Amino acid sequence: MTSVLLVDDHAVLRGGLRRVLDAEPDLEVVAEAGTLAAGLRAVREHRPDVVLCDVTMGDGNGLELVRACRADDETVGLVVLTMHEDDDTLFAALDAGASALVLKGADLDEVLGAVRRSATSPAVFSAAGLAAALRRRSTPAGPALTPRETEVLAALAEGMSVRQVARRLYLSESTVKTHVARVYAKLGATNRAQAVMTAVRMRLVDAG
Amino acid sequence: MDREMAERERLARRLHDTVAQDLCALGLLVDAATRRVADVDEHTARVLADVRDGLDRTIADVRCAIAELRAEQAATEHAPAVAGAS
Repeated sequence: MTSVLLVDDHAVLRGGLRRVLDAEPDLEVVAEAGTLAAGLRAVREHRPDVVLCDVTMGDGNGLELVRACRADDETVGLVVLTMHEDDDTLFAALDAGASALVLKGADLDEVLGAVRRSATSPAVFSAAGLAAALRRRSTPAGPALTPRETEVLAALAEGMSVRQVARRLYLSESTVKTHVARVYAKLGATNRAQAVMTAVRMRLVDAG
Repeated sequence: MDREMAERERLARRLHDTVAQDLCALGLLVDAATRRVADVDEHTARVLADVRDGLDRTIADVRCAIAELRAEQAATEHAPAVAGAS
């Protein structure tokens, strides 16, 4: 049985996580904490196998809890659960000693997979966007596009119209235009052809 | 202008801290329910899958709205708007 501690200041999410984790035969939530301070106390008191921790907490940054836990125990599973999709958060989690980063909004299988993997391989870092983030970091000259902007850019590179992109990504056309404008601005392009050429050159999208 | 930016940030934070995370929590609960009925009630499983799809779209929309509330601040600070993007 893998014991889990939940640290998140969002009560609805905490309650939902507790319910879905407790429904698994091999997982058991032994404690919940709504603040970092309570989280630290709970770690000491319960010595859980896995800590599932939010980043943005009312009383500080959850990655500090992750760092403290890792400094204290190399075998504890540390899963960072966050709303933040940016590369900085991902690398900060890796640096703090996390075993996994999962985005809030990920489906249940992904969350459960991260919890189980972190219990058995706490020193192996996994995150859905890791490979893409590493590629972006290895070409530091390239502009930092958000995952959504990258999707829009890829669709533009395929020759899709704004309306088609909107339909594919379930966005309004004006929202897509906003993304397009931001992609152009970041790439220093004034039209689609320039944007796509620049993106291919910087390997932001596949040339194929 | 400062007041408008502060108001935008307040809205972005509110969406991020409550609405988006509530939706994420609901998504996990729907996933759990879907698993529970998957083998015994195909119709309910399909309905729940539709609910999950709807939640995913709504979560994406909310994320987008948050990004726009924040990005337009950044855009007005750092870069001229690009007109006629199409």
